[in-house]
Amino acid sequence: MYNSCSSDILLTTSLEDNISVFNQIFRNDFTFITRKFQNNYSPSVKCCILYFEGMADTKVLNENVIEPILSNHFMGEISSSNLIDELQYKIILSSDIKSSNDLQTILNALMDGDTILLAEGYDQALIISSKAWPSRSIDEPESAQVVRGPREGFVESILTNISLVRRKIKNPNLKFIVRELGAQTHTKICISYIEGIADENVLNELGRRLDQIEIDGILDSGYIQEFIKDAPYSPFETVGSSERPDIIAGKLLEGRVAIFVDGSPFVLTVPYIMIESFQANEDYYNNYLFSSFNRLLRAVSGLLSISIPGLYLAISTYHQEMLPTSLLISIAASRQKVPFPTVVSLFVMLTIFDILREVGIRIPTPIGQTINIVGTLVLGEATVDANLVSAPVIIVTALTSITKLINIHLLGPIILLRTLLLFAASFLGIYGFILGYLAIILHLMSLRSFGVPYMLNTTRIKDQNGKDAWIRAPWWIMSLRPKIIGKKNLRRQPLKNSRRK
Amino acid sequence: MMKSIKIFFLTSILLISIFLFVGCWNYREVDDINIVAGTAIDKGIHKEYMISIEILESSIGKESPTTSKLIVAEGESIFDAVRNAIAISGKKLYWSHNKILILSKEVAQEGITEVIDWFLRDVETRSDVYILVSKGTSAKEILEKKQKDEKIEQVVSFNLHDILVNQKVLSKAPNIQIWQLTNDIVDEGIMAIAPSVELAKVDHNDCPEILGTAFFKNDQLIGFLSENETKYLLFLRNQIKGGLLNLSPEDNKKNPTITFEIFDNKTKLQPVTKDKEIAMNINIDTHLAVGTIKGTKNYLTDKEIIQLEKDVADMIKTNCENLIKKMQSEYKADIFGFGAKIRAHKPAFWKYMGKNWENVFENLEVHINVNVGIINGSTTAKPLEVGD
Repeated sequence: MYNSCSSDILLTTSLEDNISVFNQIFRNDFTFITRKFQNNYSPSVKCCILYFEGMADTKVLNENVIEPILSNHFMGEISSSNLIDELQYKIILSSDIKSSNDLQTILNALMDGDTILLAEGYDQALIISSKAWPSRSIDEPESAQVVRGPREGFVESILTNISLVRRKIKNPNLKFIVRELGAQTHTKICISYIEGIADENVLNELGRRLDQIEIDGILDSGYIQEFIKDAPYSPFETVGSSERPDIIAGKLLEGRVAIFVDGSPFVLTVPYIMIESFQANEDYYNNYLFSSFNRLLRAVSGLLSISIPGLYLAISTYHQEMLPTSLLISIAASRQKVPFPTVVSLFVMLTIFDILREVGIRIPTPIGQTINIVGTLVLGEATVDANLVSAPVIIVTALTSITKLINIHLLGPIILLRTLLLFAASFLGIYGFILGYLAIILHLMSLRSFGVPYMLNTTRIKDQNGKDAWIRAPWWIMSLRPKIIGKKNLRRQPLKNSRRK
Repeated sequence: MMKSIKIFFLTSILLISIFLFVGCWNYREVDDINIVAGTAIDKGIHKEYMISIEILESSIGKESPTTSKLIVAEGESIFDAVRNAIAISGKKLYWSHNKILILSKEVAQEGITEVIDWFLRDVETRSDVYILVSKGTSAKEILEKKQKDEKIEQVVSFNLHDILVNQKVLSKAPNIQIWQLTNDIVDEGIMAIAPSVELAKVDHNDCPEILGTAFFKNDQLIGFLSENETKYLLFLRNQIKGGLLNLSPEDNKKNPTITFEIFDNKTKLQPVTKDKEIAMNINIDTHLAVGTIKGTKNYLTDKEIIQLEKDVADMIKTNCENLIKKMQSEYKADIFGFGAKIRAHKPAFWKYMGKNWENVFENLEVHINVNVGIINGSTTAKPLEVGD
């Protein structure tokens, strides 16, 4: 796989030959290091370690591999059969060491940062664990900061990420299935689930979809997210992602399946339903009344952010009779001398705000403040003073932008749908607006994520369904896992808990 | 390749049409319309009707109040006149926010169905427009008189609208919307009423004042009632929501002027038949509170209150009887809705005498029973006494 000849090359008993095989494979790569050495007392013990500089811990190699082999008095007879075993079991100080003669396995280990030890006279190699690549420390993720709750976030190393989840769920049933994707990058991805809670059908379906991916490289979990999505053309995400171990642990406990991707701090979860966009991890740690209020705020804001521009346009240009007289007068007053139709000024202002948002993300932080001043002052204040747009349009733009940012996961769909509704309203007034809304609802209702209806739990609030949807019920009465997703093992806690209160 | 070109063209056509077609159908910007606040209708000089339309003028600026201007046009019908007004105003008139319709006395005397027909028929106008009849002056003059005081609403129509809405604590004029007027005209056994408006001198300025009632026979104006008569008309129509009652020495020699506030009132009309004769029993049940007392005598003892209640009841009864008698003998116009009540409760009776209702009403026997309850003396139980 690494190159065409590696699969049919076998290791020989000659150390020099073997080294040259590796040198040939990793030619033009200065980070590939080969180090030959010989035991002081038994000259026949000739070894060579191969590793990549920067990926292996040289201190470990010096102290635990080279030093013991150099200075060891080989008391017993060194024969052609036992040197590798001697080294593996008695001499090298390493927690993870195994022997192999499969070139593919050896190469994979080498690329992962392990060290290969070859010995004269053996067609076997020892794979010594020495991974030590630079890694970011575990910080609070900037994309999802909390007031209350754990402050750790995932990093780029898949092993660290797995350990962060493992530390939260200490259960042998927590499984991690590893596989590789990407013809060139060989990216490790890991499917994690709790046996006995997660639905096998989802696992099988996920496996099937991952099998179909044939891409050369995977650089972030976003690649996989898009590949395994249920409705590829829909703006709505049917695969969730999070940067926080506590969220992933929570999803696993609800019966979902998580997908870790090496090199990405974003871990995916399936199935993913609409209501999860409005849920935040803090909801589960704060008082349930406050959490429910916050969650409703998010839902209402999401609804507002797609409706406000279209609704304003429809009412102010088609249905003036719906406005109170005084409001109509003030809108009419603010529109005096404004040259553009309302629909154009709304579209332009909303687009300009999105440009500002994108600029804020792309440019270095120190310049960001300048942009903010330019954006708010020039565009907000000056355009109204210059009679380029009317003041209500600025208010509508500001409201839309604020309410849109509360649901950062829905940003893409919100921008798209609000534009759709705006144009629908410009054609047909409130009828167009309602038709647009109907289309959105029809689309949402037809979506599924890994067999689970996308709008699950949003339409009914009876029984268990509504307890963790638009509101967050107190923990002591949430005795069941979410319907369908956790159907294999619904009981989260004994019912008596809920009766106690 | 062909496919992507096709998609590109289709998308661009869609995008272009988004900007091209927004001007059509019913899309109109608020600055392209003239918002109508109120309308006055007089007899025309050259044509049948003269319509005066008060339109709003909005201006930019934080402190500038909303002002208005008057557009006057003539036409052979109301609709004709309204369309002719566009020739003067330039922009299309927008009628959904029209609050007031003032009819001049002359127009009202000729019959109002022709006038209000357009207001009921057109899609843009609403049927909750308040209707007024101008008494002393032409309708146009009412709309012309702006308040000199800048703190009072500068738009005359809005000012009139506010006055009418707040009539419920005054009860000196009915507030009648165009649909109620139409119902009263169309229904059998009830004649229509509308508030009357005239110019009054306040601080040497003429400004519109809504007091009293104009009443109609079929759709023609036949007379006006004073503000005091209006109050008892509202009592009889069960439309009183508030307002004051003055018990003055003329009504009762023993007492100084005491002003009561009406808290709530319920009037029940009950037609009773007796040997092919019909009579109307009227039960008025009123709760009052003492507002002001002139003098220092304490009227709020148990015994005095019973006496006061009786005095007020007598006053209401006398005034109501006078009003009914006036309508019976002078105008033969049943503005109280007695006929409608009989039609609803005694349909068999109405069948053979409904056609002749005008004459039956003239001789209708009316028994009024008034119950007055004085529920409190507001915040003080005793009258103010001047100390030494």
